[in-house]
Amino acid sequence: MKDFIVLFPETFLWFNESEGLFYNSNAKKFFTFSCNELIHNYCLLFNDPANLYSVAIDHSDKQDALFSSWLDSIVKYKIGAIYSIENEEKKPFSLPPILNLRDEIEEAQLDKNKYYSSINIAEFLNEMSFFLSGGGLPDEEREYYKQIIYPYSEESFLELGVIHSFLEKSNTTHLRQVNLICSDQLIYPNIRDLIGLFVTHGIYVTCYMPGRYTDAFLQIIDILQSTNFTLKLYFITIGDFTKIQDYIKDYSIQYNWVFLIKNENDFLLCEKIIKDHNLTKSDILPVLTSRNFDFFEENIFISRDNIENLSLTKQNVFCNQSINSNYWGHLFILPDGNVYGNLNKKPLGSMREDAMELIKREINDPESSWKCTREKVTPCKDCIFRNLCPPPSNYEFYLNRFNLCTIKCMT
Amino acid sequence: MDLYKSYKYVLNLSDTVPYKALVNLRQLVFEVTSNCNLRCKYCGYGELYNTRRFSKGENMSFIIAKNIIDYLFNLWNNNEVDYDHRQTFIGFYGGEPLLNIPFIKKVIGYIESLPVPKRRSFTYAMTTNGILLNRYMDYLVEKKFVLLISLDGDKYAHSYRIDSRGNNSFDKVFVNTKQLQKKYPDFFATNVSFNAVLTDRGDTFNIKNFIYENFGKYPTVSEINESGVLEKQKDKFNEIFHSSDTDWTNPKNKEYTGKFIEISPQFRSLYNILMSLSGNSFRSYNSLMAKEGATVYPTGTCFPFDRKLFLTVGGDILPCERINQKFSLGKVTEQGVNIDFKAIAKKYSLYYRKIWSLCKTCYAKPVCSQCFFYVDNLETKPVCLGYKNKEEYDMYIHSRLNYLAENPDIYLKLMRETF
Repeated sequence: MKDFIVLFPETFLWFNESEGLFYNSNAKKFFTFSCNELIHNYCLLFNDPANLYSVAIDHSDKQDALFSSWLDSIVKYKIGAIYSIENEEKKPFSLPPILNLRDEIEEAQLDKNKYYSSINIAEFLNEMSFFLSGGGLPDEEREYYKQIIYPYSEESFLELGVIHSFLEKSNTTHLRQVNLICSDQLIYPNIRDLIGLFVTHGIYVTCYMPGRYTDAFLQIIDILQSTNFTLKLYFITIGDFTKIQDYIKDYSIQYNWVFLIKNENDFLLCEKIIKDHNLTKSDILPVLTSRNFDFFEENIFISRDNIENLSLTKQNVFCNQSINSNYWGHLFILPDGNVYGNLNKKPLGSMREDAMELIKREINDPESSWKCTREKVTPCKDCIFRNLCPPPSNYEFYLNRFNLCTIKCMT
Repeated sequence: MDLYKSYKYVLNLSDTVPYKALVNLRQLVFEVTSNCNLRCKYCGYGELYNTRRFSKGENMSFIIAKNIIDYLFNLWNNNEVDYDHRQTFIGFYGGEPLLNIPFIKKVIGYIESLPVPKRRSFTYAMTTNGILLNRYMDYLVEKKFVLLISLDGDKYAHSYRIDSRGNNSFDKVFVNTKQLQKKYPDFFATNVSFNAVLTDRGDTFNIKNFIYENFGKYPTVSEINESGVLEKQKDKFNEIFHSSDTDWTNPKNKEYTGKFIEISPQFRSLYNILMSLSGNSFRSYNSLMAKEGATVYPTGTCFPFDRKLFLTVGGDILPCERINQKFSLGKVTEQGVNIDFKAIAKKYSLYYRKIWSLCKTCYAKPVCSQCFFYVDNLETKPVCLGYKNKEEYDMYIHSRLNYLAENPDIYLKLMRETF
C-alpha cells in the first residue's frame, strides 16, 4: 500500500521557504503553516502541474512532527485527502487551479497570429471619468484626485465639443459607467447635454460635485432626476448639508453623500451625521494628507482579519492573479485633455486620439496599472497572502508603497 | 470539478442576436460556382449525401453578390461594430472557385470601390483544389488571399480526388503548389495552409508527414462528414470512411501521437471537458470580474451568423456551408435581400425547444458541442447521436480523465491552450 496526499481542485497553495498558505475557495477558508525543508519539498511537488496535485507520502517523513501535523491539518481543514493505493499505476489525482484565460493566452501568442486577433480591445472600455472642471481647492486637497474620485486641482475646463469628438472617435459599445466630476456646480453649463448624451445610450452616469447649497445647484436640480443617474455630493459643511438634504428629498434623485475622512474625529462626525439623518447610502472615503499616515496605519491598513473575511471564490482569486479590478477598464480624462489609465501615472495620450489606441498602450505597458497585481509589486510579490489581498489601491500608487497592511511575512 | 454542472438554460433567442452577429460579421462566404473540375468520391455535394441540392453548371450572378454586399455595407455603416477592429473575411468557395475567376475579380473590385466602413478591414480567403493555381496565383498573391489548399497526402491518399476522366489529380495539384511556393515563398509561408480529408487510403500521420516534408506545413486532417449520408449510400460511405481515432490509438503510431498530442481527438475532448467543468477557464479579462454566469443555450450550435454568412450559388443564406439547404435563413435575389431577424430568432427558438426534449435528460449538456443542424429529425422528433445517460456520461468523462492520468505532462499545456 502506498499513501498519497491529494489537494482538492478548489485549493490554492502559495508558499515560500519559511511559510505557506492553503486557501479552500469552496469553503472560503485559509490556513497558514510554517515550512521546514520537508514541507517545502512537498509544496514544490504540489506546485509541479505534472503531479496533478498528488504526492506520494514517504512513510519515514511522518516521523517529522511538523510534517505530520501539516498532513493532519490538510485533512482536517478539507484542503485535501489522503488515499491509500495498492496499485501505484492508478494513483489518485486532482486538477490544480491553473487559470486558462483566453485573452491572456492569445495576447502572449499575438505575434504568431498571422491573420486574425480575437482580442477585442473595445470590450475593455467599461468606465470613463471626465474631470469637467477644476480649481478652487485648498492646498491640502490638491492631490486628492490621485487617491479618490475628486475634482482636479488646476483651474481648467473640459469643452463639451472635445468630449463629443473623443467619443465619436472611440468605440464605446461596451461603456457602462461614466463619472462626471465638477469642482463647481455651475461652471459646467453643458452638463444637461452631457448627461443626456450618455443616459440616452443606456450608460449609467454618476456626477460628483461639492455639496454646496447655491443658486447654481438649485438651477440644475431638475436634470439630476434622469434615470440611470446618481448624484454624489461631497460633504462640505453641516449647514450646506442640512439645506441640501431638506431640499433634495422632494425630488426623485438617486444621491449619495461622500464624506472624506482624515482622522478619527472626521469619522465620528460623519458617523453621527449618517445616524442623525438616517442616511441609508453614503460613501466614507479616507484621504491621505501629509500628516495622517498614523490614522491610515491604525484604521485603513489591511489586516489578516480583513483578508479572512473576504470570502473569495476561485474566480476572485484568478482575477487577483491577472488584473487590478480596481482600475481595469477605467479611463480618466483630465480637463487638459490628457487621458490616463491611472492618475498617479503618466498620461496614455490625449483626447485627440482614439481611446482604443490608448487602451492598447495601457495593457501593453509592463507598468500597466490595469494589470498591476500584487504578484508584480514589492514586497507583496513575496507574501503568501498576495493573491487573497485586494489589488493595489490608489493610495498605494500615490505613495508608491505597496504594503499598506499589517501582515508581516516571514521572508 | 463539478461533473454535473447545472446551468440555467435559455430556449428563446432574441432577434438582436442574429442582427448583432451580422453587424459584427466575421466571414461572408460566396459559393462562387457549382462547377468543379474534380469529382471527389467523398464530396459533400456528391452522390453520398443529401445535404445539398446542387445543380451543375451554375455560377453565382454578380448582382446577387452585389446585393448582399450593399446590404451588409449599409448595416455596417449604420451600426457601431462591437470590436475595436473587425477583420471580415470575404471567402470564395465552390465547387472550385477558380473556375469563376471573373466573378471573384468583379466582387473584389466592387468591394474595393466602396468606402471601408469604420473599424473594419477585409481579407480575402479561398478554399481551392489547386488545379488552376498555376493560372491565377499572381492575382491571389496580389490580393493577399488566405489560401486553403485541399491535398489529401501522397498520391495514393489523394486518389479519391479525381478529374472527370477518373484520373488522380495529385500530380497537377502537387506541381502547382510547388510552383506557388517557389515563385512566392513569403506569401506561401504566411498565407497558405493545407486541408486533407482522411479516407481508407490515408493515415493521419502519413498525411501530416508527407505535406510537412514537401511543403513545411502540417495540414488539418479531417474525417469525411458523417452527417447527411444517404441511406442507400451507407455501404459506400463505410468503405471509404476512416476514423482518425484508429490512427491515434494505434500503438504503431506512438512516436507521432506524442508529437502531435495537442491536436489529438483525446486532447481536444479533454480540453473541452476541462474548459467546461473545471472552473479554471475564462474567456476574457472582463469575464474575471463578471458577477453572474453567462446565458447558456442548449447544444453547441453557433448563433446565426456568429461564424459566417454563407451565400449559396442560388442565393440561399446559410449559417455555414456544411448545413442542409433546408435550414436557409434568408434569400438574396436580383431584386434584393430578404433577412427576417425575427423569423430567424423564432426558428432557432423552435429548434432549441425541440432539442430540449432530449437535452433535459442528457448528462452531457455541460460539455455538449453538438450542432443541432446535424441532429436527425430536428424539426419533428430529434435523434441526437451525442445523447448520454448518466452511465455513458460518467464513462466518457472518466475515459478522458484517465487519459490525463496517463499523460499528466499535458495538464499545463491544456491550461495554456486555446482553440
